[in-house]
Amino acid sequence: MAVSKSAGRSVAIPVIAAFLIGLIVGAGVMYGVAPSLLGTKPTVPVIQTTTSIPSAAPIEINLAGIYPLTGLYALDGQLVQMGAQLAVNEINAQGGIRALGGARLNLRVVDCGSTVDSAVAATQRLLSQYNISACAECSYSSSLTFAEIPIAMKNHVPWITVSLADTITSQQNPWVFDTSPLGSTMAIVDYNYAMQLAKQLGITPRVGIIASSDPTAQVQLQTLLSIAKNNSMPVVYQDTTAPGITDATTIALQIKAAEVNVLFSTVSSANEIILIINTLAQQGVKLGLFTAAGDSLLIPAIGQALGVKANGLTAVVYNWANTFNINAANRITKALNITFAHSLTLNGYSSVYLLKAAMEYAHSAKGDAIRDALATMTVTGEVGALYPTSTHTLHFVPQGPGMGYRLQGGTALMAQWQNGIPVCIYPSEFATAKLITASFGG
Amino acid sequence: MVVGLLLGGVYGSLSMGLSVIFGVLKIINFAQADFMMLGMYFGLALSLVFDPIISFIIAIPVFLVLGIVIERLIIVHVTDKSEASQFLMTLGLSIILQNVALTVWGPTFMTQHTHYQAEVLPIGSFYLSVAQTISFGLSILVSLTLTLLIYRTDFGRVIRATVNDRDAALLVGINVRRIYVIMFGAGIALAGGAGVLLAMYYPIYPTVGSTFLLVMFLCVMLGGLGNVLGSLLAGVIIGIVQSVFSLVLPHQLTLLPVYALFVITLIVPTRQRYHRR
Repeated sequence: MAVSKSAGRSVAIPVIAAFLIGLIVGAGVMYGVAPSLLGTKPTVPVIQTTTSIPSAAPIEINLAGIYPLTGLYALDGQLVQMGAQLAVNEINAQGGIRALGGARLNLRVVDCGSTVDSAVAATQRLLSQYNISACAECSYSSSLTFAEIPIAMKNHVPWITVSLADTITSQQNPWVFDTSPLGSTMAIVDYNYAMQLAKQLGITPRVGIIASSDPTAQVQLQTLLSIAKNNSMPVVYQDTTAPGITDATTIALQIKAAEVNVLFSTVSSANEIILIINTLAQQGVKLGLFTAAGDSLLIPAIGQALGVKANGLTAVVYNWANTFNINAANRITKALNITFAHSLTLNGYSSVYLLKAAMEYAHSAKGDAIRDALATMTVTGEVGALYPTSTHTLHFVPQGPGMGYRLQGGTALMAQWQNGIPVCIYPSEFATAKLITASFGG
Repeated sequence: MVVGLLLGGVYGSLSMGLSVIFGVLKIINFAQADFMMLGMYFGLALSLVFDPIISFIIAIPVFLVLGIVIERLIIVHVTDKSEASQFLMTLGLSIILQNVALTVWGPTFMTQHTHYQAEVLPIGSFYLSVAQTISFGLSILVSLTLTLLIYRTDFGRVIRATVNDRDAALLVGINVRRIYVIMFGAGIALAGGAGVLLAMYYPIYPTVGSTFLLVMFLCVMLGGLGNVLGSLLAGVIIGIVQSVFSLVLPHQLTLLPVYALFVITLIVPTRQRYHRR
């Protein structure tokens, strides 16, 4: 009797489906996904005593490295990753976390892309796949960080970030530790110093502001407009770009027509900055000063792309090689074989050392303990000077009851491109070089 | 207006390839912008030795061959399949191309350093970018050449026959398969060439295609599916609209009138059909 093909096919399909389901479930159990789906996570052994107990094999502590490695912010993410990985390697080479028996750090890196959806998916995937103790300077863009921090709170993972938007730490989320000054503060510093520089150049400022549409840029734009208004300084040009502009000619023509000589930029994408500056140069726009409140202007690729056009461009940043962290900055440039340590690389590096300090203080790698340590401890010495603060120590303060934390006395610095390398020129106690008054497009 | 004209020429050149592929093969190639991205990297590599115009001429046959290979290996499997299959295949191809570029060149953006980048043509108080002007000129040239090819040659007649009625073309002995292969290659060649031109003044990175993909589709839809000159004209219109409205609207909203125009274009014919009933 012949067996029909359809009968055979109808038996085969459930068998194949069952096999595939079994394979997936088995893989999930093996990689710890199933336990997290069931509401439990594999636990990391915690040593609660003050003396370290030597163990046969040191435990491993997972730190989240959620960085934009593709898309609009790829360069920035890459810079952070470089610094964070270097710090992890250094700490492991020095013997790991001593309070935890020499526990080794693992930086679990995942690409969060440049959209909120991809950032959320990457964060959820990483936190469900590994037992993450903390996040080392994650994301970059404030809009991505906004999306990630609720997940951090839900999973009790302290989140160190450099996102500038003021509202990052004004939400009810005590798991966020922001190492940058408020975005609005950066804009204030940028404005004040730019006006001093304009005075040095002997020009009567005609202020223009070009911004991108992300939250940080918009906060800085509003702050600049407010300061200008309070100082009776007319803003003769103002515009906002959308991500991925294809042409900047009309922007350049409008700036030229308005006779802007002090242009503030809060554009966060390096690609757009290059397009704008090249177009400004093409259209013969003569500016006394081009300054940015943010480090996008200072990435190495900008210097390579603009060449001599970069000299004199200034930017206000949340960290840069300065008189207090110059040793760490030199270590980074030497180890990574780079020309200079960008603020993102410095911050990635510093965040891992900060987390090390928190774990040593707490004698624990649990998220709750690390969070409590970050919220209460004060770090001094070389680690205390890794981020620029007025006290040269690191101490976080909450921005309100139940809200996120920021560094006490966090100080913005101003850096300027000089002969292919950005150097810190302000405030004077942090400065490693003097200001040059190169005029752009002149 | 002039700025818009040049910008639109760039949009048009980017969308011509997409229009060709859709017009002949009836496939919406979601990887078109990524072939443009490959063209940018190709132009960057050749800029070390050749002038960008020479690079553009070299890029056309190179990307024609690439397109033929892609069609024979990949696209052929979905030519007669459903639109969902075609969408998934070309989307997958797009992801592969972006990740290949990421692996080979990394995420760091690159810029081409040619004398065209800095050169400008002064027109009164306004400066015309030489790079964009060359792009515009070459786009017009390519578009006219392609149009002449399609409407004034025997080969063009064969292409039009295939587009109008594939089955009838088969019946009269036209090798439809060969037409598909060649025209897909041509579409990719146009994308690669457009990429070489764009690389003269635009930063190059693996996901740069996503910046232009939506505008490319707008050009094709507005210009008429399969209409090469129409795509170029639509690109010019979009560029002019974008530039003119950037004087009165915030820069981030300058594509809003274009989208509005697009929606009106889609709605009006539908209403006319409705009224005829």
